[in-house]
Amino acid sequence: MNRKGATGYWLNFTGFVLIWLIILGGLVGAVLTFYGQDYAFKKVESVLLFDTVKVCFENNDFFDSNFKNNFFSKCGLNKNVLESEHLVFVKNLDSEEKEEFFVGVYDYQTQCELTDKKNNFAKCKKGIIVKNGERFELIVGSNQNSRGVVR
Amino acid sequence: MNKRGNVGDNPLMNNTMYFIIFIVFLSLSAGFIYSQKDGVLVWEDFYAKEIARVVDVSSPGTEVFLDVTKATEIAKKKGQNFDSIFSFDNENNRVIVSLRSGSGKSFGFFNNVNVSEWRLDLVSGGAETNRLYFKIDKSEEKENE
Repeated sequence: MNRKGATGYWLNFTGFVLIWLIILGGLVGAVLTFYGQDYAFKKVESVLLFDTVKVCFENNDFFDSNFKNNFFSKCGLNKNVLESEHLVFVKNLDSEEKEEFFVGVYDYQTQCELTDKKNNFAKCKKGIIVKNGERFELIVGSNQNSRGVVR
Repeated sequence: MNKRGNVGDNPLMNNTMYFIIFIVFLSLSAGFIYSQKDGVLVWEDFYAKEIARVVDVSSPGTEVFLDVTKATEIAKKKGQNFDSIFSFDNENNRVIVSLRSGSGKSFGFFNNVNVSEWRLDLVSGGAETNRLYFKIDKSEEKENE
Protein backbone atom coordinates (compact mmCIF):
# COMPACT_ATOMS: atom_id res chain seq x y z
CA MET A 1 0.00 0.00 0.00
CA ASN A 2 1.29 3.41 -0.89
CA ARG A 3 1.15 5.86 2.06
CA LYS A 4 3.20 8.66 0.63
CA GLY A 5 2.16 12.02 2.02
CA ALA A 6 0.06 10.64 4.90
CA THR A 7 2.66 11.01 7.67
CA GLY A 8 2.54 14.77 7.68
CA TYR A 9 -1.21 14.74 7.85
CA TRP A 10 -1.37 12.50 10.91
CA LEU A 11 1.38 14.49 12.65
CA ASN A 12 -0.60 17.66 12.08
CA PHE A 13 -3.81 16.00 13.18
CA THR A 14 -2.32 14.58 16.40
CA GLY A 15 -0.79 17.94 17.27
CA PHE A 16 -4.10 19.65 16.67
CA VAL A 17 -5.99 17.25 18.92
CA LEU A 18 -3.32 17.51 21.62
CA ILE A 19 -3.51 21.28 21.65
CA TRP A 20 -7.28 21.17 22.04
CA LEU A 21 -7.04 18.55 24.76
CA ILE A 22 -4.65 20.81 26.66
CA ILE A 23 -6.95 23.82 26.24
CA LEU A 24 -10.03 21.82 27.25
CA GLY A 25 -8.16 20.31 30.21
CA GLY A 26 -7.13 23.79 31.31
CA LEU A 27 -10.68 25.08 31.11
CA VAL A 28 -12.11 22.13 33.02
CA GLY A 29 -9.35 22.40 35.62
CA ALA A 30 -9.89 26.12 36.09
CA VAL A 31 -13.66 25.81 36.43
CA LEU A 32 -13.40 22.86 38.82
CA THR A 33 -10.84 24.70 40.94
CA PHE A 34 -13.22 27.62 41.19
CA TYR A 35 -16.50 25.78 41.65
CA GLY A 36 -15.53 22.21 42.49
CA GLN A 37 -14.95 22.51 46.23
CA ASP A 38 -17.78 21.08 48.31
CA TYR A 39 -19.42 23.27 50.89
CA ALA A 40 -17.48 22.24 54.00
CA PHE A 41 -19.96 20.61 56.32
CA LYS A 42 -18.35 17.52 57.84
CA LYS A 43 -17.05 19.33 60.92
CA VAL A 44 -20.40 21.04 61.49
CA GLU A 45 -22.24 17.75 61.17
CA SER A 46 -19.90 15.98 63.57
CA VAL A 47 -20.50 18.73 66.17
CA LEU A 48 -24.29 18.43 65.77
CA LEU A 49 -24.11 14.66 66.08
CA PHE A 50 -21.76 14.92 69.05
CA ASP A 51 -24.28 17.03 70.94
CA THR A 52 -27.11 14.60 70.18
CA VAL A 53 -25.06 11.55 71.20
CA LYS A 54 -23.80 13.27 74.34
CA VAL A 55 -27.35 13.87 75.59
CA CYS A 56 -28.25 10.29 74.72
CA PHE A 57 -25.16 8.95 76.49
CA GLU A 58 -26.01 10.83 79.65
CA ASN A 59 -29.48 9.24 79.71
CA ASN A 60 -28.59 5.67 78.72
CA ASP A 61 -26.10 2.94 79.53
CA PHE A 62 -24.14 2.49 76.28
CA PHE A 63 -22.26 -0.50 77.70
CA ASP A 64 -25.34 -2.53 78.50
CA SER A 65 -25.23 -5.70 76.40
CA ASN A 66 -28.60 -4.98 74.76
CA PHE A 67 -28.11 -1.29 74.20
CA LYS A 68 -26.34 -1.53 70.85
CA ASN A 69 -29.45 -3.06 69.28
CA ASN A 70 -31.54 -0.16 70.54
CA PHE A 71 -29.00 2.61 70.03
CA PHE A 72 -30.68 4.18 67.01
CA SER A 73 -34.20 4.19 68.40
CA LYS A 74 -33.10 5.32 71.89
CA CYS A 75 -31.01 8.18 70.52
CA GLY A 76 -33.45 9.11 67.73
CA LEU A 77 -30.90 8.53 64.99
CA ASN A 78 -31.27 7.01 61.55
CA LYS A 79 -29.43 3.76 61.02
CA ASN A 80 -29.05 3.99 57.24
CA VAL A 81 -27.49 7.42 57.31
CA LEU A 82 -25.23 6.85 60.29
CA GLU A 83 -23.78 3.44 59.60
CA SER A 84 -22.15 4.15 56.27
CA GLU A 85 -20.55 7.58 56.63
CA HIS A 86 -20.30 8.35 60.34
CA LEU A 87 -18.69 7.14 63.52
CA VAL A 88 -19.89 7.18 67.11
CA PHE A 89 -17.21 5.88 69.45
CA VAL A 90 -17.26 5.80 73.24
CA LYS A 91 -14.48 4.49 75.44
CA ASN A 92 -14.45 4.15 79.21
CA LEU A 93 -11.12 5.65 80.24
CA ASP A 94 -11.33 4.54 83.87
CA SER A 95 -12.38 0.91 83.62
CA GLU A 96 -9.67 -1.73 83.53
CA GLU A 97 -11.21 -3.45 80.51
CA LYS A 98 -11.23 -0.14 78.58
CA GLU A 99 -14.77 -0.88 77.40
CA GLU A 100 -15.59 0.42 73.96
CA PHE A 101 -18.83 1.12 72.16
CA PHE A 102 -18.96 2.07 68.54
CA VAL A 103 -21.38 2.44 65.67
CA GLY A 104 -20.48 3.24 62.05
CA VAL A 105 -17.08 3.18 60.39
CA TYR A 106 -14.39 2.28 62.93
CA ASP A 107 -11.58 3.49 60.66
CA TYR A 108 -12.74 7.09 60.99
CA GLN A 109 -10.89 7.19 64.32
CA THR A 110 -7.65 6.98 62.37
CA GLN A 111 -8.87 9.35 59.70
CA CYS A 112 -9.77 11.91 62.35
CA GLU A 113 -6.15 12.00 63.47
CA LEU A 114 -4.95 12.58 59.91
CA THR A 115 -7.72 14.86 58.74
CA ASP A 116 -5.43 17.90 58.42
CA LYS A 117 -3.33 16.02 55.88
CA LYS A 118 -6.09 14.87 53.60
CA ASN A 119 -9.23 16.83 52.94
CA ASN A 120 -11.46 13.89 52.06
CA PHE A 121 -10.93 12.18 55.42
CA ALA A 122 -13.61 12.24 58.09
CA LYS A 123 -13.85 15.28 60.36
CA CYS A 124 -14.47 14.66 64.03
CA LYS A 125 -15.46 16.16 67.32
CA LYS A 126 -13.92 14.69 70.47
CA GLY A 127 -14.71 15.23 74.09
CA ILE A 128 -14.50 13.77 77.58
CA ILE A 129 -17.72 13.13 79.46
CA VAL A 130 -17.81 12.40 83.17
CA LYS A 131 -20.66 10.16 84.24
CA ASN A 132 -21.05 8.50 87.65
CA GLY A 133 -17.48 9.47 88.52
CA GLU A 134 -16.01 7.76 85.45
CA ARG A 135 -14.47 9.46 82.43
CA PHE A 136 -15.57 8.51 78.95
CA GLU A 137 -14.01 9.58 75.68
CA LEU A 138 -16.58 10.37 73.02
CA ILE A 139 -15.50 10.63 69.37
CA VAL A 140 -18.03 11.48 66.70
CA GLY A 141 -17.02 11.70 63.05
CA SER A 142 -18.63 12.46 59.74
CA ASN A 143 -17.43 11.81 56.22
CA GLN A 144 -20.73 12.43 54.48
CA ASN A 145 -20.66 14.14 51.09
CA SER A 146 -23.63 15.20 49.03
CA ARG A 147 -24.60 12.81 46.24
CA GLY A 148 -25.64 13.59 42.72
CA VAL A 149 -29.19 12.56 41.84
CA VAL A 150 -30.84 12.11 38.48
CA ARG A 151 -34.45 13.23 38.36
CA MET B 1 -9.42 4.46 -8.16
CA ASN B 2 -5.90 5.48 -7.25
CA LYS B 3 -5.79 6.85 -3.69
CA ARG B 4 -2.02 6.98 -3.26
CA GLY B 5 -0.99 9.86 -1.01
CA ASN B 6 -4.28 11.64 -1.34
CA VAL B 7 -5.05 11.86 2.41
CA GLY B 8 -2.59 14.67 3.02
CA ASP B 9 -3.04 16.23 -0.34
CA ASN B 10 -6.64 17.41 -0.10
CA PRO B 11 -6.66 20.80 1.69
CA LEU B 12 -10.43 21.08 1.63
CA MET B 13 -10.82 17.71 3.38
CA ASN B 14 -8.17 18.66 5.95
CA ASN B 15 -9.76 21.97 6.78
CA THR B 16 -13.22 20.47 7.01
CA MET B 17 -11.98 17.82 9.46
CA TYR B 18 -10.19 20.44 11.57
CA PHE B 19 -13.27 22.62 11.58
CA ILE B 20 -15.55 19.79 12.67
CA ILE B 21 -13.23 18.78 15.48
CA PHE B 22 -12.82 22.41 16.51
CA ILE B 23 -16.60 22.79 16.74
CA VAL B 24 -16.92 19.60 18.78
CA PHE B 25 -14.27 20.74 21.27
CA LEU B 26 -15.72 24.20 21.44
CA SER B 27 -19.22 22.82 22.09
CA LEU B 28 -17.92 20.54 24.84
CA SER B 29 -16.06 23.41 26.50
CA ALA B 30 -19.01 25.79 26.19
CA GLY B 31 -21.42 23.14 27.49
CA PHE B 32 -19.26 22.41 30.52
CA ILE B 33 -18.73 26.08 31.38
CA TYR B 34 -22.42 26.83 30.92
CA SER B 35 -23.34 23.99 33.27
CA GLN B 36 -21.12 25.61 35.93
CA LYS B 37 -22.50 29.08 35.33
CA ASP B 38 -24.28 30.61 38.34
CA GLY B 39 -22.53 28.07 40.59
CA VAL B 40 -25.46 25.66 40.36
CA LEU B 41 -23.51 22.74 41.84
CA VAL B 42 -22.22 24.84 44.72
CA TRP B 43 -25.66 26.21 45.58
CA GLU B 44 -27.30 22.78 45.37
CA ASP B 45 -24.63 21.45 47.72
CA PHE B 46 -25.07 24.41 50.06
CA TYR B 47 -28.86 24.18 50.30
CA ALA B 48 -28.91 20.39 50.69
CA LYS B 49 -26.47 20.56 53.59
CA GLU B 50 -27.98 23.55 55.34
CA ILE B 51 -31.51 22.11 55.14
CA ALA B 52 -30.19 18.81 56.49
CA ARG B 53 -28.63 20.77 59.36
CA VAL B 54 -31.99 22.35 60.19
CA VAL B 55 -33.70 18.94 60.13
CA ASP B 56 -30.97 17.44 62.33
CA VAL B 57 -31.52 19.97 65.10
CA SER B 58 -35.33 19.99 64.90
CA SER B 59 -37.77 18.14 67.11
CA PRO B 60 -41.06 16.60 65.97
CA GLY B 61 -43.71 19.28 65.70
CA THR B 62 -41.30 21.96 64.49
CA GLU B 63 -42.38 24.09 61.56
CA VAL B 64 -39.60 25.60 59.48
CA PHE B 65 -39.53 28.61 57.17
CA LEU B 66 -36.29 29.14 55.25
CA ASP B 67 -35.38 31.98 52.92
CA VAL B 68 -34.46 30.29 49.65
CA THR B 69 -34.52 33.32 47.38
CA LYS B 70 -31.09 32.63 45.89
CA ALA B 71 -32.13 29.08 44.98
CA THR B 72 -35.28 30.27 43.25
CA GLU B 73 -33.33 32.90 41.31
CA ILE B 74 -30.95 30.27 39.95
CA ALA B 75 -33.74 27.78 39.27
CA LYS B 76 -35.65 30.44 37.35
CA LYS B 77 -32.61 31.15 35.17
CA LYS B 78 -32.14 27.44 34.55
CA GLY B 79 -35.78 26.90 33.67
CA GLN B 80 -36.40 24.57 36.59
CA ASN B 81 -39.96 24.04 37.78
CA PHE B 82 -40.28 25.60 41.27
CA ASP B 83 -42.18 22.58 42.62
CA SER B 84 -39.22 20.36 41.83
CA ILE B 85 -36.48 22.41 43.52
CA PHE B 86 -36.77 20.95 47.03
CA SER B 87 -37.95 17.53 48.08
CA PHE B 88 -37.42 15.05 50.90
CA ASP B 89 -36.88 11.31 50.67
CA ASN B 90 -38.20 10.15 54.04
CA GLU B 91 -37.46 6.53 53.29
CA ASN B 92 -33.74 7.20 53.04
CA ASN B 93 -33.66 10.36 55.19
CA ARG B 94 -32.34 12.61 52.43
CA VAL B 95 -32.86 16.20 51.35
CA ILE B 96 -32.88 16.63 47.58
CA VAL B 97 -32.14 19.97 45.93
CA SER B 98 -32.42 20.36 42.18
CA LEU B 99 -31.81 23.78 40.67
CA ARG B 100 -31.68 22.50 37.07
CA SER B 101 -33.91 20.04 35.36
CA GLY B 102 -32.73 16.46 35.21
CA SER B 103 -30.27 16.39 38.10
CA GLY B 104 -29.53 17.66 41.59
CA LYS B 105 -27.80 16.92 44.89
CA SER B 106 -28.94 15.04 47.95
CA PHE B 107 -27.69 14.94 51.53
CA GLY B 108 -28.66 12.70 54.44
CA PHE B 109 -30.05 13.87 57.78
CA PHE B 110 -29.27 11.65 60.77
CA ASN B 111 -32.22 12.78 62.90
CA ASN B 112 -34.77 9.97 62.74
CA VAL B 113 -37.77 12.08 61.76
CA ASN B 114 -40.06 12.52 58.78
CA VAL B 115 -40.36 15.76 56.87
CA SER B 116 -43.82 16.58 55.59
CA GLU B 117 -45.95 19.27 53.95
CA TRP B 118 -42.99 20.89 52.21
CA ARG B 119 -43.82 23.65 49.82
CA LEU B 120 -42.28 26.73 48.28
CA ASP B 121 -44.01 29.98 49.20
CA LEU B 122 -43.52 32.64 46.56
CA VAL B 123 -44.23 35.44 48.98
CA SER B 124 -43.80 38.29 46.51
CA GLY B 125 -45.06 36.30 43.56
CA GLY B 126 -41.59 36.33 42.00
CA ALA B 127 -38.05 35.36 42.83
CA GLU B 128 -37.41 38.22 45.26
CA THR B 129 -38.35 36.82 48.65
CA ASN B 130 -39.24 33.18 48.54
CA ARG B 131 -39.27 30.70 51.33
CA LEU B 132 -39.36 26.97 51.85
CA TYR B 133 -41.78 25.62 54.40
CA PHE B 134 -41.70 22.15 55.90
CA LYS B 135 -42.82 20.39 59.03
CA ILE B 136 -40.94 17.87 61.17
CA ASP B 137 -42.93 14.79 62.21
CA LYS B 138 -42.14 11.89 64.46
CA SER B 139 -41.16 8.78 62.55
CA GLU B 140 -43.04 5.86 64.05
CA GLU B 141 -42.07 3.37 61.38
CA LYS B 142 -38.37 4.08 61.46
CA GLU B 143 -38.35 4.06 65.26
CA ASN B 144 -39.49 0.44 65.28
CA GLU B 145 -36.87 -0.79 62.80
